[in-house]
Amino acid sequence: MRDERLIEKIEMTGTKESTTKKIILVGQPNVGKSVIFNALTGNYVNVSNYPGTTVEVAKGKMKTGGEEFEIIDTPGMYSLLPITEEERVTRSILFKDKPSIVLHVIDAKNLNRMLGVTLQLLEANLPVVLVINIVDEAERVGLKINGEKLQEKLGIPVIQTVATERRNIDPLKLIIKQYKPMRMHHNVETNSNNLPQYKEEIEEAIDKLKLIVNHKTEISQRALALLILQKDEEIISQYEEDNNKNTITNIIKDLSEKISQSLPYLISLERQKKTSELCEGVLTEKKTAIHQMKEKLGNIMIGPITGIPFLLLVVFLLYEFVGVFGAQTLVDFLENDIFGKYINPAVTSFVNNIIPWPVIQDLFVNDYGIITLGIRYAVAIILPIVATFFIAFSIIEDTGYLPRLALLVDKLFKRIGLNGRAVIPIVLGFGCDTMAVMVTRTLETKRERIISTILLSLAIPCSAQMGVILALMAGSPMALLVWIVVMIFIFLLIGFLAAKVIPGEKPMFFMEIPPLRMPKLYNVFTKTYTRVEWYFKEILPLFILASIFIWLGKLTGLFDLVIKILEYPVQLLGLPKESAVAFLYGFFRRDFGAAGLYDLKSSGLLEGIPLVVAVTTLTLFMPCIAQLSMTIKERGLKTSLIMISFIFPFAFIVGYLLNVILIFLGVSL
Amino acid sequence: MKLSEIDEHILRDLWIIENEVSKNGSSIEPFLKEEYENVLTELENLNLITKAINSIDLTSKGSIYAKSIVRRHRLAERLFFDVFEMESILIDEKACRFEHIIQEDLEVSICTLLGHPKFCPHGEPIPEGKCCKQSKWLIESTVRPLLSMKKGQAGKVAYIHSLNEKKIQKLISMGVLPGLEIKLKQKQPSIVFNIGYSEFAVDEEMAKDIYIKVLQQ
Repeated sequence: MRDERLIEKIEMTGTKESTTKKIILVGQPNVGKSVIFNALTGNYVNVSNYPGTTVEVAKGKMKTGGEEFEIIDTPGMYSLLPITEEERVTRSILFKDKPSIVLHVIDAKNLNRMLGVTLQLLEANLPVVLVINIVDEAERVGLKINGEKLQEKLGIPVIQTVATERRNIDPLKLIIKQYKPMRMHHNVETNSNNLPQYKEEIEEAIDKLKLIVNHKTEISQRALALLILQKDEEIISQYEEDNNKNTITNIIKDLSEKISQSLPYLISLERQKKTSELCEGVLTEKKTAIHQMKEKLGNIMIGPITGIPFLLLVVFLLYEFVGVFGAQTLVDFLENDIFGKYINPAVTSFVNNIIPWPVIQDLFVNDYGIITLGIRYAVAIILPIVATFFIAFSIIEDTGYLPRLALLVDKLFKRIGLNGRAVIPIVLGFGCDTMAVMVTRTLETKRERIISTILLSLAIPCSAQMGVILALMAGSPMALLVWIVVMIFIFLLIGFLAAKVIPGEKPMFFMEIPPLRMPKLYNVFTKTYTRVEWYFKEILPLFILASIFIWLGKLTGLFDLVIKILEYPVQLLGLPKESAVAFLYGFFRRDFGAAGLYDLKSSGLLEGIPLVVAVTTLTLFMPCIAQLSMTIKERGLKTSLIMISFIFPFAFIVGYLLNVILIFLGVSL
Repeated sequence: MKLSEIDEHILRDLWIIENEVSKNGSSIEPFLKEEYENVLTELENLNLITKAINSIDLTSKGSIYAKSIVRRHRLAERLFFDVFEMESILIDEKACRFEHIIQEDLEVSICTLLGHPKFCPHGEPIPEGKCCKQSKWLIESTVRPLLSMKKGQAGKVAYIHSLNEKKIQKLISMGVLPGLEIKLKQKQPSIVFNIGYSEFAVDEEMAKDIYIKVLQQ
């Protein structure tokens, strides 16, 4: 069967195409596409135990047997008929990039559910290789898949892998290498009996549409016709220009008069039928006891009564690890022992010895020098905090806790115009707001993307900043409490108001809850490493640049002028005028500013109410220049400017009010 | 009043033409043929329809009667489709026979058994009955909305019905498709269910359109 189909419909593309062959990885979210990508290329892209980690298309090279391939990792896709932005991205890569091979990665446990997409890819005449991944988890629940039989039934290569253990990765490479560069003729009817046939009325409509969808792509006319029938606007718009709009509208209207049910639904039913047929004799189930412990733990995490206490426990552990161990013990050690006792004195005397001019000395050392300020902030204060946070975060995300958290907070998030899904960018924001703004892409509606970006910019302190803040307030739990309460209040208030003001459709929540998994040490390590590296590359130049700016500013007197101006609003907030410097840093990066406050506190200039006010105001600032440019990139310049012109005045107003209220209440902190 | 099957079919079709089919769609033309004359006169005598040269209209009495036939017809389709799992091509014909022998108490039982469905398998709306307004999910309901199930209950997806195409697409992408086994894991704070070997969390808005054929009580 396989041979018939292939020989009949294949046209050799010839040997002219000597360019690197493209291999595209596609599949539903959280099936391990990125792990396979890493295994094939030896590169590293982020892997997590939650759906939608891959928001950008990753490209890498694979060399096998002297031949080089380009491997493309795509965001998760549930169907060729896209709902989300990422699905649209993935589909356009599939349709336009002319892949030599499409590796369709599926989760072995859910063969029955995921083969539907395989059928869609085959309908589109794409050169598919089926990669059944995570076979180990399927085996554990008593599932066995007869790969050879499925291969025979589908007529395409099928391989079963456990990518995290590199099981069957080499055979997969072999399949890729030996795969014949063949392309089916787009004009040929796909009526092979391993693909679904639809209702008569639908088939008639497909035949009519085929006359319109001409030979623009390699994608089969049948697949395009099916998408058009399901009212896929993107595809329809491609054929509108040729005066075909009316014909298309009529065909769709005609069909909907004959069939009153939803077409995507009917089409999926047929595919599902086919899928069940395919699974017959391929899939054998042997009921085994499920993992009791994991099951129970999972239930605790999402239970209506136990869920919140469990969350608090997680937050507490996170605080102990990042806030106490990272931000206090480690910072203290690096700051006071390493920099304070060794590096700073040594570097200062070295520089002062070889450079006679104080002006140049100031560039490197003394109060605002590149080394004593920029590098010290980055290495001694920011690094330990960021590193401990990302270690903790990597562990949490690899267990699969985040999607569970999402369902826990969905109802609350609905109040602020988001849905549970937004918990992933928001929690990631506690690590790095820049990364988080990028991840808001996974949210479904524009409204949610805007609201979550505002909240990230305003009320979510990143790990670096939070670490510094925790260290700042280590001595006064009351001050910390006030700060937390104010931040939560503002988060909810602004979310609530934004949800009222910003128009758009109300979000719906649905999310796959992946099985709990034991984090793999290696993955946690690599992930932390790449994130910290990314982070460091991002901030170190900025810190150094900031030191240079300040040096230049001081040299020209501009710095003092700005500080003078800033002193007014700062004093209005009841803060010592020295903190104006920290606020100036804060415009560069919030954590840089917070680190500036740290210096003030160390010298005894800042405590009690002013400390809380300063920290709160600074937390509300735009996080940093990198985040700002990401916001402009993702949301557009106009939206970003509106956000900025709201955020900075708002931060000062909140600081002012907080100062007044705390004094009025006579709170002593 | 006991009408023949033919009478009931005419009333049913007239009701559908009046209430559902757009004006330029199906017409009453076939009924204006001679062969129907006797039947139509009989119906007119019963005060169920009024006849003019080129039109036939249901009286208010006739409309109520006709609506209940439509309801019984579509309930019967639902019954054959959901409970007996017949092929959808066959059910229309079978329902045409069955609709005439369903009496009111049986109609209530069937409607309850099916979980007061709102649409027939072809997607046409089922006129609401008295029992639907009370909308009690009795223990004997075999098909019922996912939301009316108890925590821990399992079943097979009977159907999903929504007018929101996006929502249908999302449900499909999760694998919520007729025939697949589904188990309700919890309802608060979000609805969590297992389908196949996957677990999904959804909000009420998504869950309310899923209908389940309950397997065990």
